[in-house]
Amino acid sequence: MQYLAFILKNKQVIFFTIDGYYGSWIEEEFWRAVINTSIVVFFTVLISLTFGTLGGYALARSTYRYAFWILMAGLIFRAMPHMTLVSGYLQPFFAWNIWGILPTTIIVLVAINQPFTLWMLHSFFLNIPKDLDESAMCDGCNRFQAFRYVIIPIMWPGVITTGLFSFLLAYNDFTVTSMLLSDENETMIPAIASFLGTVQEEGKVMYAVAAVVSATAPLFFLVMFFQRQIVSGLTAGAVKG
Amino acid sequence: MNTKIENKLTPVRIIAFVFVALWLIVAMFPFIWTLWGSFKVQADFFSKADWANAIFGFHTEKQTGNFFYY
Amino acid sequence: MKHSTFLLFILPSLSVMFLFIAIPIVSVFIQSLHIEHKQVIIVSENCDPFGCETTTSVDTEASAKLKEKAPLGKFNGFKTYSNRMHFAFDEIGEAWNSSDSFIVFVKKIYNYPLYRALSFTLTYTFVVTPFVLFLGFLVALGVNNLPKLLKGPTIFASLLPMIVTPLVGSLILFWMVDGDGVIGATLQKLFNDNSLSLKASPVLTWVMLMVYGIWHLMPFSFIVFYAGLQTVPHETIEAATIDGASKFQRTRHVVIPHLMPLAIFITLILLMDNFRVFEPIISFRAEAHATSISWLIWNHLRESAYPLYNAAGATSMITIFCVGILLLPVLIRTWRDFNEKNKG
Repeated sequence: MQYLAFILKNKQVIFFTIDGYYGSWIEEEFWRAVINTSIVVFFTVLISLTFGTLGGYALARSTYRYAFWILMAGLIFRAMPHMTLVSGYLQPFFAWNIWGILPTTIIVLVAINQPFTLWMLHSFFLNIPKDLDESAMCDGCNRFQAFRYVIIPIMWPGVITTGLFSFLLAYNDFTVTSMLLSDENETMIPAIASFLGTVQEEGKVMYAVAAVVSATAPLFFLVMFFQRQIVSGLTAGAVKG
Repeated sequence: MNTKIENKLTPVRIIAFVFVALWLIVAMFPFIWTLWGSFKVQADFFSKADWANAIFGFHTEKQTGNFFYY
Repeated sequence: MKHSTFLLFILPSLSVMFLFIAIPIVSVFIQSLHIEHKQVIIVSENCDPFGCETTTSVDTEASAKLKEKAPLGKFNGFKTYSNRMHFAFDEIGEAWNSSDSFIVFVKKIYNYPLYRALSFTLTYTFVVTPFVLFLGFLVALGVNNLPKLLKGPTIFASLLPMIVTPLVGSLILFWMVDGDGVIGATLQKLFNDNSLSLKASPVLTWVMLMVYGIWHLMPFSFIVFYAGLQTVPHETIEAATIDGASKFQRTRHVVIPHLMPLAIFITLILLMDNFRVFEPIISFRAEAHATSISWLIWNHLRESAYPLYNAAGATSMITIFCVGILLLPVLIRTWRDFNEKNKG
């Protein structure tokens, strides 16, 4: 490959090359991992939010004791190290022949994500006054219609914040994706980890460096555009509860 | 009253400023360094002899293709 | 809300949690009680004029049949928990009898994988957590003193170490502290020691991993504390100032008590996250000097030719037990709060 050169005012030259990027994206087929990550992340966020808004809304509006117990169970599930869960998945997944494919990983990530999503959306829905949907129900709506016409139009700020964190969990996951995906379905983070073994020995560390920068870049832009939502999400559980 | 406090340069304020600046360097430097270094060859990014190589790309010039300027 | 409507709303969420979190925990427990079947070996004797020779071969058919009959393996009870991969009771007894001093005994225990992993995981958790709390609080105080214009960019830059994937973040640091990387090479020059390597020494490896942990989680405590600082009541601060309290006294007696509930929340989250430390050990390739419990499970599942489900299961159950102990104070507190609220 060729290189770029910039000449500074004092005649000092700076040289750049894109060898690392070419090597990792094209030669080592990192683009496949990028596509897999996009699929996994997109569906995980979509399903997590759908399940989470329904459940979070129910938890926020229920006055019964079992709602509290579900939230407590969520807290305990949230504390489980993911590796302990993964060790329980492998045997049944091999037996049912669903190991290694993307849908399995997506649904597992949704499940692992659920306790956090429920907690966050639950505390968000608590801030929406009860009178809103209850007055709609007085006007003859049932619970689902009240949810559809009153809650959905105003819930987006909370859903976007929660969605960002679901995105981060799915995007950053290494434990689940490295254990549950076959080589051809590998996502970005396990792909980088496997670069470590193979590429390093051949003296192509720069491939891994380029892949690492490629994987970081989207997060950089995410923080840039959604800084306010991320900050409010981090503090939502804390300041209010 | 509040604005008055904000504009005064007290020793506490200077210490706070220096501390935050230090943290920012610690937080940002690894990312900037790696982003810059990813456009170099290995001999430059892992240059034991002189870290300036990783900035200017001494070996990047030698190891890669033809010479042309922008 | 009516029970039936509630159930309909929560059903999808509840069922995925039940299927992929609750059941796996049970299945891990069952796994840990069984052990893989031994291969069925056929011993046959071949005789020829020069003498007899015994050959052994694996009877694949019989092995497969055995596996089909009992897919979980042979029931093994709690023996996996007490073997040398885990609590190593027999070995510890022996070590106790054969060691002449306590330090020798501790060193012997440290050779067993579970104790090794536990000692690192616990040290990591209880070193990183207070550091993150303290430094995060200091940065929050500092940023609170900055001019308004600088606050936004500061928060942006601070968020990065936390948002970036742990595996990737630790890799970035790993390359920099490498003997040929910028920090590693600079350290070698500073100490004038060309063989200085952070990776070769156990102590330095531990320090490196913990420094990474602090770097990674500090933004979290910083952001939460910073948000908390915005809610400190202005009147109280002003009253304290009029009474002649210095800046330090105001921080000590007004700000810190106000932030205490937040500190408890952060501690809880940090304990949960630090206890599952795993990715940095992969990135730093630190397993020779530091292993964590999560790494141990991964190793059982990954490193041998056949996954050691029973060992992974037992280690997982021990991990869950430890998490339970960590969470117990919080659970008891919430339970008490909940009961009081219901009474009143």
